[in-house]
Amino acid sequence: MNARPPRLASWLLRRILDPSQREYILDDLAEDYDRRRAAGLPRTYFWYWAETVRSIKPSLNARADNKQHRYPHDGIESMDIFFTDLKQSARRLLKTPGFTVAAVITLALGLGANVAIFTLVNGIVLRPLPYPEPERLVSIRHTAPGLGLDLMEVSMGTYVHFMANANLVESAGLLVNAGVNLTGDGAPERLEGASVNHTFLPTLGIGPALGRTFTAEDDRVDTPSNVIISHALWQQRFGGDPDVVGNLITLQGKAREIIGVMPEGFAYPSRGVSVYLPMKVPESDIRFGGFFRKGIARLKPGVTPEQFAAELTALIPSLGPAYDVPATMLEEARVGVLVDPLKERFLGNIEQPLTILFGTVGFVLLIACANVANLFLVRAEGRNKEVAVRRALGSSRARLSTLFVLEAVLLGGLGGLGGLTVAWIGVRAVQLSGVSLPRIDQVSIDGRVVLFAAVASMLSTLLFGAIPALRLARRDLDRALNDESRGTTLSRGRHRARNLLVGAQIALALMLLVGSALMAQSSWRLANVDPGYRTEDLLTAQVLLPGADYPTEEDVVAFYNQVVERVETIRAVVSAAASSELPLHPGQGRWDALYVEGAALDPDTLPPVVIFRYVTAGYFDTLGIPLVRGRGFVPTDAAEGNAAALISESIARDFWPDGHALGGRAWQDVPPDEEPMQHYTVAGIVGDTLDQDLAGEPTSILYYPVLEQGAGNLHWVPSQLTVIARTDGDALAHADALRRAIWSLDPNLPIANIRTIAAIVNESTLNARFTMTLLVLAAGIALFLGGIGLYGTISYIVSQRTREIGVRMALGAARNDVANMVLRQGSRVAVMGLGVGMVAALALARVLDSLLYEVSSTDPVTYVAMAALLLLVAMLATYIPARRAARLDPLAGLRAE
Amino acid sequence: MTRSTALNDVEQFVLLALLRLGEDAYGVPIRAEIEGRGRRAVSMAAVYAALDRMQRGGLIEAQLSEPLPERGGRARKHFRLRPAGTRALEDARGAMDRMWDGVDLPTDAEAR
Repeated sequence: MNARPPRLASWLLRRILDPSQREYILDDLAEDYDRRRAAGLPRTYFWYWAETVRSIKPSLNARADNKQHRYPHDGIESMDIFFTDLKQSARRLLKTPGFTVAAVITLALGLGANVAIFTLVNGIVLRPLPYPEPERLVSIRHTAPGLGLDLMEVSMGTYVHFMANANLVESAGLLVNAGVNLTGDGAPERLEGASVNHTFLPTLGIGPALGRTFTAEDDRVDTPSNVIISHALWQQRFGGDPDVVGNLITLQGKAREIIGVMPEGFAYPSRGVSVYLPMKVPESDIRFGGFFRKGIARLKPGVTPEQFAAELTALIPSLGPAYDVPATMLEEARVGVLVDPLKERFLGNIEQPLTILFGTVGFVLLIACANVANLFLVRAEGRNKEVAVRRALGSSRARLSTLFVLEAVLLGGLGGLGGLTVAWIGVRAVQLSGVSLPRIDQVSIDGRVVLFAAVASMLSTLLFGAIPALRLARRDLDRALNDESRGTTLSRGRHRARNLLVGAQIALALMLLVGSALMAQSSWRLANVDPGYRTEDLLTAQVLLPGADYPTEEDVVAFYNQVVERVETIRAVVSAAASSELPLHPGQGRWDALYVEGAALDPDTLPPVVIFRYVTAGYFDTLGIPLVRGRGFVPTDAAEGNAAALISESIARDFWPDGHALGGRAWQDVPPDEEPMQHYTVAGIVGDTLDQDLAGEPTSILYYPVLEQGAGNLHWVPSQLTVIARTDGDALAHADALRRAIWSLDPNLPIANIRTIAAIVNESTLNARFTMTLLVLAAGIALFLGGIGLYGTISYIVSQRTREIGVRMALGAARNDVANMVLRQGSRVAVMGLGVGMVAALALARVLDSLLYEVSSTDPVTYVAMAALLLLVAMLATYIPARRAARLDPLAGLRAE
Repeated sequence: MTRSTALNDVEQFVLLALLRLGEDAYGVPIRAEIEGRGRRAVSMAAVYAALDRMQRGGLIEAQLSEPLPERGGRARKHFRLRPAGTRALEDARGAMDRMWDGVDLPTDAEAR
C-alpha cells in the first residue's frame, strides 16, 4: 500500500459503519483508495472524506434494520445509551431550575475567580509578546553602579555607536514616551504618544494597517513631522475613515500629515498610546549623555541575549574616543549594558502577589465546590426513592453512578462556561480599573485560558460530583425505600455530611475574610501614610556629572546650585532643589556611622548609622519637609570652621535624648578619639520622613548643605545628583522643559529617570494595593457563597422537618420556639465553622505577614470583627428559613409529605 | 426466507453488477460498476447496506475469499445471486417494462 487513507476519516468511519459489514467496507475502501491513488486520480484524500460523509445515512439505516437482533454492544450503541443518559440528566436538571441555577452560579463564581487570575498570569507572565518571533526581541539598557544607578535607558550616542559596531543584531529601534496636545477640530485633547525612530516598528515586526511606516527620511530634522495614529484614535477621531491617510492633524500646535494607522490591538508600549511621531534627532544630539531613550533590538536567529550583552559590553570602552568621554569616567561610573528579553521589561516584581492570589482563589473554588456538593447531597436525599426503585428494577450501581456523574459533568460544564464569562468580566474590570499592572492591556482569554477553565471545571466536577454520586449509588436499598416512605425527620447522621461541608465553607470564608481584612487595613494605612514630604507636583531627574568636566568639588557644588537656579527659571516651576539622592530609592542612601560630641559610646557595640545626604538649601521647602526647631541652611553654613548640618527628628531624639540637639556637634565616620576632618554643628531639626520604605520606620538623615561658599570645605559631594522641581500642577508635562533647562547648562549631561515623586510612591505601593483589591473581592465571593451554602442547607432541613414542626406546633410549641430551634441549628454549624476558620486564618496570616504594614497578623480586632460579620451573615441566612418555619400553618405541616 | 417487497433502485443496480462481474463480485468492483456503467454515485456503505439486506432476504449469498496479502491478510467478501435474486430481478424488469409499454416521451417542445 502506498499510503494510508486519512486516519481521522477512517476513525470516524469505524464509528459510523454498521458493525456487521464494517471490516469489509473499510478494507474495500482502503483497496479502492490505493487503486485510485495508483491510477493517479486527483483528490483521493478528498474522495475518502466524501465517502465518509456519504456513509452516514446508509449506515444509520442499516443499523435501524439490524438493531433488534444483532450486535447490541458496539461503540455507537453505547454512545446511544450515553446520549440517552445525558438527555435524561439534562431533563432532570431542568426540572429543578432552582438547584441548577444555584449550582451553576456558584461554580461560575468559583471557577470565574480562578480563571480570571489565571488569565492575568497567562497574559502577564506566560504569554509571549504579540509580535513575530518575540523570543528574538530584547531591551537594551545601561547600568552605572559607580554612579549609584542600577538602571537607565540608552542614549542616542550609545545606541548609534552600538548599532554601527554590533554584528549579532538584526535590527534595533528607539522609543521615547511623549505626551502631546491634540488641537484643531473638537476639544483639545492630551494624548499619550511615543516618538520612535524609523527602525523601531520594523524591529518589532509590526507595520501600519493603513498607509506607510516611517522611513529614514522621517528621522531627518529637515523633513516635515508626520504622524502614525493608533487604531483607537482613528476610530474615535476619524470614524474609521478609510481615506484618513494624508489628512492633517494638529499636534503640539503643528499640523502634521497622517501617514499611517497602526493595526487594531497594537499597544506598544501601552494601550493608551495613540500617536507615533518620528524621532528627529539633530546631529548635535548624538552624544553620550541623555539616557532616556528606550532601546529595543531584534537579535539574529540563534543569538542569546547574553551573547549580545557581551558584544555590547565589549564596545563600551570604544565609546570614550567616539564621543570624547574620558575613559576614567566610564570606568568610575562602571557603565555597563543590560540586555533582557523584551518580555521581562514588562514584568515587575508581581510574582508574589499573583501566587498569593492564586492560592486565595483556590480556596474560593473549594468553597464553591463544597457548596455544590452540599446542594447535590440535599438533592440526592430527595431522590433516594427513585434510586432505590431503579436499583430494585435492575439498574446496576455503575449505571446509576453514571447518571449522577453525568449531572455533575453537565453542571461542571455549564459552570465552566459561566466561569469563563465571569473571568472575562473580571479581567475587563481589572483592565478598566486602571491598575498599572505590566502588560495588563495584552491580557485576554485565549486557548490556554479555555483549557485551564476546562481542567479546573473537570477537577471541580470530581470534587463536588463524585462523592455524592458514590454515596448515593451505594446506599442501602432497603433503608432508602423504608426511610422515604415513612416521611420522618432525617436522622442526625444524614445531616452530618452537609453540616461538615457548610462548616468547612464557613471556616474557609473566615480565613479569606480575615486575610483580606488584614490586607485592606494594611493597604489603607499605606495609602494614607504621611511620608513626611510632599508627593504631589514634584518632578525629579537624575543627572550624572562626568568627572572629566567636573573634576573638583567646587565644580560639582557649583553645578548643584546653578542647576537649581536654572530650573527655577522655568515658568511652571515653583521651587527647585538638588540632592545627592531621592526618597524611596533604597540602596542609594549613604549610610555611615554618626558620632556625637560628648556622647558616651559602648565600645562593644557598633556605632549607630544614619543616612548622610547632600542637599541644596531649598530641599526642605521643595519637598515640604517642615523645620521643627532651629533654622534652615544659610549661605555661610559651609564656610570653614562654621559647618552646619540639619538633622531629622529621629536623630535628635536618639542621639540627644536630653533634648539639646541644637548647637550640638557631630561628625561622620571617625571615632571620637581621632580628629575628624570636619565637625558639623546642628543648626536645625527637620521633620522625620519615610525615606527608604513607606512601610518602614522614619529614616534618620543628616543633611549636609551644598553651598558654594566654602565648598572646598566639603569633603565629598557626590557627582550624581537628583534635581527636584515643584511645579504648579501636572508635573510630568514639564519633563521636557526640565530636561532642556539642565542641558542649557551642559548639553552633554546624561539625564536619566525623569519621574514624579507620586509615581515613585505609587510604584512602591502597587503590589500591596493590587493584592488587596483582589483579596477583598475573593473574600466577598467567599462570604456570599458561605451565606448561600448555609441558607440552602438550613432551608432544606426546615423543609424536611415540616412535618415534625407541624407536630410540634400542634402540640403547643410557640412560633418563637420553632424559629429559635432552627436558628440554633444554623448557629451551631456556623460557630463550629468559625472555630476552625480562626485557626486556619491564623495560619494564612503568617503567610501574609511579610505583606502587612502596621497591622499585626494576629490583630484580635480584625479576627473578632470578621467572625462577627460572618456570624451575622450566617444568622441572616438561617433567619429566613427559620421565619418560614415559624409561619408554618400547623395543619399544612402535618399534611406535608 | 424470501422477500415479498420489490427491489429498490440500488438493489437492482447491485444485482445487475453481480451478474456482470460474476466470480469477481466484491465491494470495490461492484461499486465501480454502478458508478462507471450506471452513472450513479453511491457510497460503499450504501452498497453494503443493500447487499446485507438482500443477503438476509435470501436473494444473494456471500463467500469469503482466501486471505489476501494486499489487504493485510484479510479476505474479501464475494457475492453471487441465488435463484430468488434472479427472480426478483426478472420481476423488477417485468414491472418496469410493463410500465414503459406504450409510453411515448413528449418532445421538448410539447413539454413546454
